[in-house]
This record gives sequence, C-alpha cells and structure tokens, in this order.
Amino acid sequence: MSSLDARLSALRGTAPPTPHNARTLAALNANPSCDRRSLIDAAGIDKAALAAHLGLPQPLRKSKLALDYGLAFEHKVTAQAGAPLVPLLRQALGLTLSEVAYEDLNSVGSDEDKSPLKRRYSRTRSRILSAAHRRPDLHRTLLDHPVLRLTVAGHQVYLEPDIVAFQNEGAFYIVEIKSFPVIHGQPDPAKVAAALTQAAAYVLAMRELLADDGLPPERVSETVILINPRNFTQHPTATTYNARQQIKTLSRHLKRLRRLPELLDKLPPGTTFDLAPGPDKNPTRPRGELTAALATVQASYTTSCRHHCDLAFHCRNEARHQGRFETLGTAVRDDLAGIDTITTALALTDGRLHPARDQQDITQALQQAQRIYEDLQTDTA
Amino acid sequence: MSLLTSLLRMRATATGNALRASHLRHLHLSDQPLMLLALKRTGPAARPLAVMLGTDPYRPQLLIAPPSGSTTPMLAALADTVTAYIDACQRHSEYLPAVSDNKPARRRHTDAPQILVPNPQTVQHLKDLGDALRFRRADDQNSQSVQRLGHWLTYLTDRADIPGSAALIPLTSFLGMHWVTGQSPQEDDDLATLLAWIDPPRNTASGRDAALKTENPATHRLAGPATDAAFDNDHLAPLFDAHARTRTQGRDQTRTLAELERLLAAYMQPTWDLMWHAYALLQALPEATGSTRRWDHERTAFTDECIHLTQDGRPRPARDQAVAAAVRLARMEHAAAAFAAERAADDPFARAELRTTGAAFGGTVTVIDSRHTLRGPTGRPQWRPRLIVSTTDQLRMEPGQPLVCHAHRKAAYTICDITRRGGDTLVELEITAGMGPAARPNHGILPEPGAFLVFTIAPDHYRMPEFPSRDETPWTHGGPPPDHPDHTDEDESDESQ
Ligand code: SF4
Repeated sequence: MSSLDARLSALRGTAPPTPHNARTLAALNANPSCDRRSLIDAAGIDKAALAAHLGLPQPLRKSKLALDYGLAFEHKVTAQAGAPLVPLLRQALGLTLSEVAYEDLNSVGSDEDKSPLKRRYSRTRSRILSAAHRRPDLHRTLLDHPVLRLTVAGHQVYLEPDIVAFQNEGAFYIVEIKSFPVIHGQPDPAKVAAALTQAAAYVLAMRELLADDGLPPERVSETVILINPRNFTQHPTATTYNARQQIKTLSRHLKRLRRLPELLDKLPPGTTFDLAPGPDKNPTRPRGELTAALATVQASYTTSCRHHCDLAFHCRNEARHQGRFETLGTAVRDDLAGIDTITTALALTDGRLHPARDQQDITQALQQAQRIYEDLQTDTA
Repeated sequence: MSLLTSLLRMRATATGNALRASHLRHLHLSDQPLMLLALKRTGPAARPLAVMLGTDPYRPQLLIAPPSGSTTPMLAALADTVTAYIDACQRHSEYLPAVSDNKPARRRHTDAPQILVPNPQTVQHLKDLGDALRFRRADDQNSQSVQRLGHWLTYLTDRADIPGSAALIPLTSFLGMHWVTGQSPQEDDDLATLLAWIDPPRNTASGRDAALKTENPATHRLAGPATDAAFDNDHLAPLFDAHARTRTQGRDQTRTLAELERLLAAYMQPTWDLMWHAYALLQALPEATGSTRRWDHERTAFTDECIHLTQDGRPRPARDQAVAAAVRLARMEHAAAAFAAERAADDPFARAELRTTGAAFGGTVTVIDSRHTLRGPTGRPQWRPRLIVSTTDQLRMEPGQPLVCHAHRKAAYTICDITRRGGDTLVELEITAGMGPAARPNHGILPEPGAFLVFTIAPDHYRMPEFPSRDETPWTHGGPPPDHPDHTDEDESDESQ
C-alpha cells in the first residue's frame, strides 16, 4: 500500500472503500474546483452515508421505479443478442456487416468469484485487443456490458459502459442505453450532457486500454451513441453525439487530481471522516466532530451541487453561514464579482465599509440601487 | 435579473425575510381558475400517475392512473373536467366593432380558461402529455375526448411560453415576479420553500427558518410532476408490487387501487393547499392596468383557437415547420418586449429596475422651456417644448436617445444635451410627440416644475418580419401543416401600436 493510499484510507476509516464510478467522475466535471469532493471521492468515502448521518436531505437518492424502468428498457434493447440494437447501430455508424456478432460479457465469472470485475475486465480487454489487431472482418462487433479500467489519481477504477461497438474501418464506439425519452427528436439537453460526460470516462478508459498495448488511442471515436426510447413508446432510437468537449474537460480534471498529496498535506493531523460504526453498524461519530473535519477541506458550493453531490445541503449551510454569494445563484455571484461576501457587499452599500480601489464601481452601483429602492419606499418614483 | 434584485436577495438573506418586488400584479387572475396538480409516473415519458384538480379549494377531484394497463379511462375523466371548464368560458361573447380593413368586426368570448400549476416542470409535463395525446386515434367516445384534451394541452402550454400570457401559469414563477427571497432562484422553484419565505407561518421566527423547516426530508415533498425517490421506494413500489401480485393471482384489485388512491390523496393534499395559499397571496395584490389589456388578448387568442377547432380541428404538427417556428419566435420576442414596456409604464418597481440597468433614469424637472419651437420642413413653426431634468442616476445614454415617460403616456421625448455637474447630471429633453399642433397646443403634456419623473428608453417600434407564406415552404415534420391562414394571433402583432 502506497503512503498515499494509507493516508486516504485513514481519512475513510473503517468502512470499505466506495470506488469512483462514471457518475462520480461526471461530478468531477460539474464542480472541478471542489477540493472537499476530490478528496472524499479519492478516499472512497460513502457520501450518502455521511449525509444520512448528518441528517441531511438526500437529493440523489435513486427511485426504484426509475431503476426498474431503466433496466426494462435496457433488456428490451439488448434482447435476442442485441437484435433491436443492431439495425439502429448499423444505421448510426454505417456498419455494413450483414451479421453483427454480439457478445454479452455480463455473465463472465462465476458468482463465487471474488473479483468478477477484474475477470470481466480481462475478458473485455482480450476481446477488444483481438478485434483491434485482427483482420476487420473477423472480430466481434458488439460487446455488451464490457468492463473497462481507468487510472484515477493513481488508482485503477473499473467502469461499466453499456456497449462497445466496433466498426469495420477500425474505430471503436461507446454506446450508452438511457431511458430518458427523445420526443420528436428532442431529448432533455441536461440529461444528454450528463450522459455524454459519463461516456467521456468510458472513452478515456478505452483509450488507455489501447495505448497500453501500443495501439493508437484515437481509434476510440469521440462520437458517442445514445440509445433512448422514442417519443412516448419503448421503441429505441439511436442518436450520435460528439463528446469531444466532455472528453477534453474530463481528462484535464483527472490530471488535476494529481494534487491529492498537496491537499492531504493541508489537513490537520489526525483528520478523519470515519463514521465509527458501532456493533450494530450504526454510526457513532459525534456530528460536531464530523462537520469540523469537513470544514478542514475547502469546498466550492454552487446551487447545482444538489444535482451531483450528496453533501449539497451540508455545504449550502456552511456557505450560508459564510455569507457566500453562490448560495443566491450565479446571477448574484456574477453581479457582485470582486466582493467576497454578502456581509461585505451590504456594508459597502450602507457606507459602513470603505471600498477598495477595485470595488469603487460596484459600490457606486450598489449605492445607486439602494437609493433608487429607497425612492420607491417613499413613493417619489 | 438586475442589480436591484441582487441587492434585494442579499437583504432578504440578511434579514431572513422575503421582500416585495412589486406592489402590482402583472398577470390577470381569474375568480375561478382551474387549479391542477399533476404527478407523473417515474420512468416513462408521459404516463400520468395522478391529477388533482378543480375550481374549489375544498373539493378537489382526484384522478388516478392504474399501476398497469390503460390510462385512457383516467385521461378521459381528466378530459371531461378540463373540457367542461373550457366550454364554460365560451358561454358568453361580446361584439367588437371593426377597427380597420384588416381588423373587421368580430365576436370574442368574455372569458378564457386559466389553469394554475405549481411549477414550470408541470408545464413541460403537460406539453409532453399534449404531444402524446393529440395524435391518438379517435375511434370511440373516450379516445375522442382524450385527443381533444391533447389539443387543449398543446394550446395552453404554447401560450405559457408567451411572456405576459395568463392562460397557464406556474405558481412559483408567478410568485417570483412579485417577491424576492433570500435563497437562489433554483430553490425558488420549490413551491413549499418559496411560500415559506414569502409567508412564513406565525410560529416561525423568519422566512428562512420556515424554509429550513419545510426542507425536512421527513415531511418535504415535491410539488410534481416528479415524485420523491423516498415516496417511490417506500410507498409506491411496494403498492405496485402488491397490485401486480393480485393481478397474477387473479384476485380482485379494488383494494390495492383504493389504497393507492388514499396514498396519493394524502401525498398531494399539502401541495394542493399550498397552491391555494399562493393563489390567495397573489389575489390580494392590486392588478396592474396592463394586465387587463393582456387578458383581453388572451380572450382573443382563446376565441381564435375555438374557431380553429370547430372549422379545421386537425392536430397541430408534432414540430413546427421552419416558418411557423420563426413566426413563433418573433412573436415571443415581441410579447416579451411589449410585456416589459407595459410593466415599466405600470409599475414603479419595474422602472426602478430599469434605472439600475441604465435603461431608464429618474430625476427632478428643473427648467421648462414651454416656448421652444422648431421650423418644420414646410417652414411652419412647430411647438417643441424642452425640459431640463436633473438626475443623480448614472446615465448611460447619448443625445438623440428617444424616451418615454410613465406619467405622460402619449408623449415622446428625445435627449438633446447632457451636462454633468458634480454628482448630478442635467439632461435636456425635447418633447417630440403628444404636444399637439402649434395652433392647438396640449399644455397638459408639460410637467410641473419640481416633479420627479422617470424616463425609460422608448420600446422599438415593432414590425413583424416578413416570412414566406405557408404554401411556399416545404414541410418536413409532423405531416402537412394545418392550413388555417386566418389563424394569426392578432393579440401578438398589434401590441406596440
Ligand atoms: S456539495 Fe460540497 S462537497 Fe459536494 S461538490 Fe458541492 S461543495 Fe463540493
């Protein structure tokens, strides 16, 4: 165990690690400047358990109905050796083979296998490499539930894309099956963006795989295919997207994670987020201690945290106490660029504080707004 | 958002209580709105779970979709209620005499439907539902009324996109037009916390405390159309499973259905009450002059839609073809500009906001030159009185800028000269319209010396861009465009006149 690992596992305490997955990597894209989250994720700490112990609302809890629906759709699409999928992909990617081979890697490894992910990974790897090296007409074309591996901050993280497709001309494609609908050709843009960010993690993992074997990583296409229900039916439709932007930002943020040792150096000695589960498995760690530990790592709260982080309500309370503009949304934050807190802004407005040189314009504007507001109260306007 | 709203948000955060952003209500509020709270099934695009609706706060109607099987009976019941409500609005009409050659005499319904929903997400859900329903085959009575419901939902959700329209209003946005809270706009999308900020219950110290209380995961619920994951997992999923079991065992399902109804009624009731609470708060605000006029246009649009339905009746295409989409966009931009201009004319708060953005300034009239004249093109003198207004606002305008003033709505002004003196700015204005001919001058246009006036940038004169006609454009989506050349929303094309 490296010393970095040892330090991270001390942060986590006794609980088993919750490794990174495509969703936590996507969250990295959503709020890359948050040290708190980078550290907690790197240490494999279960944020949901943390939030539950702190008695916070859990905006990310998953609905069983949503999961069931998603699974049913996925089964429908991959049923009969991918029969419904093949014509869609053939059209989207210009696959020309009359018969597209399909392999389900879900079932590799027996139940007793201690590391099914590892096994499925080596199986995936050998399939992909043989497809990449062999003559183009001899390979498997569709791999269902492959397992890929990505190096995140020096750790191997296993990722499970839905499908990897291989095309005649030698390019690999990531295919994701998502259960949100495309209505009259228009999917929810926020959901597409989230799906593409996840797919970006898969693309990077695939590229790592090829590069390790001396193959050109560009053979993994930046074009990503999403399979969604069409309109109000459960019939699938395929749409291709270019994920270049997401791939670029994600690899940039992954590089930044190398700063972990620096972040760890800044922590007071003995800092831990251990929930200290008692004999009944319930956490015994005093909440005050836990919030104090959280406070030792810099957060970067924004109003969209609640869409990707279990700690959103904790960080919001903290940001409110600190009087941060981010709690009031991006418009306020942008309006008041150059001032640090709400308290300062109000003190400047009311003339209780003298503006610094670069705060003069905004102070003048605030004071004017205040004067106009007062005019309103006295009814002269 | 303006710097003024940002400032108010900060003040609200600091004090813990929401602030009034306007003393006037800018949308018409019906005496009998149809309140509608909709839940959708988690997963499928537009499968309803339940709808609670009605015009009486104490006697809502609750419609439930079964966990599995057809939703048509439920949707048909929904269609009946919605259509009955809409039909009632068509009962009376008024006669409007001809205005000009292209605006001949016509009749207009004296009322129009107004549906209030909790949030913008519900509008989107109703839009999806409308899309899903209006192309349904209509082979029996039930499916015919469901198809018609789809048509009306499409009409209403289209109207909801138009600024200033009051046909289908999300209550959170409506409240947000009149109050500023100390939380983020994203959080304002939650009806329960928004109302807690605006009108905290007596036993809480502040709006902020009340909002924190409503966020308690044990009691908080979403106002639809999505349901909370906790509700799905702890209540709905087990009940759905039980329902499926009775189904496979061939047992009677009435019990599980009754249970589902009880469960949903209890889940929805608090939000239903909040919606009426919001309605009461909004109703207490005095209505702005402009909103009456906008409601007149709403009635025109509604009457046109009724005519379209009886004369043509084909469903609107799934997606607007290119020209229709461009027309729609132009119309929305125009409606937004007109709505903003009317609010500025009606509402001191709107004017104050414009002053902070630099689109208006306010000041005291110091000098009135009531004898100033110009030589017109024919050499005849024209009366062009001038004023000097002294302002402390930061002026971001140039000479030549046309202006309007709320206190003299018929008048138009142009900036002639700007001189800065210390912290004050002196703006010299010329009155360019509304003063009457030199022979019969309208002296009422002149302000009192010392009066405080706000001048706003004159709205652009709007002209609907020229679009190719329907038959000159190919259609690519959703079948042939419905052919109703007379169906122009005249309410949107004449607002700046
Ligand atoms: S909620 Fe907190 S920890 Fe999570 S991303 Fe936001 S600021 Fe970081």
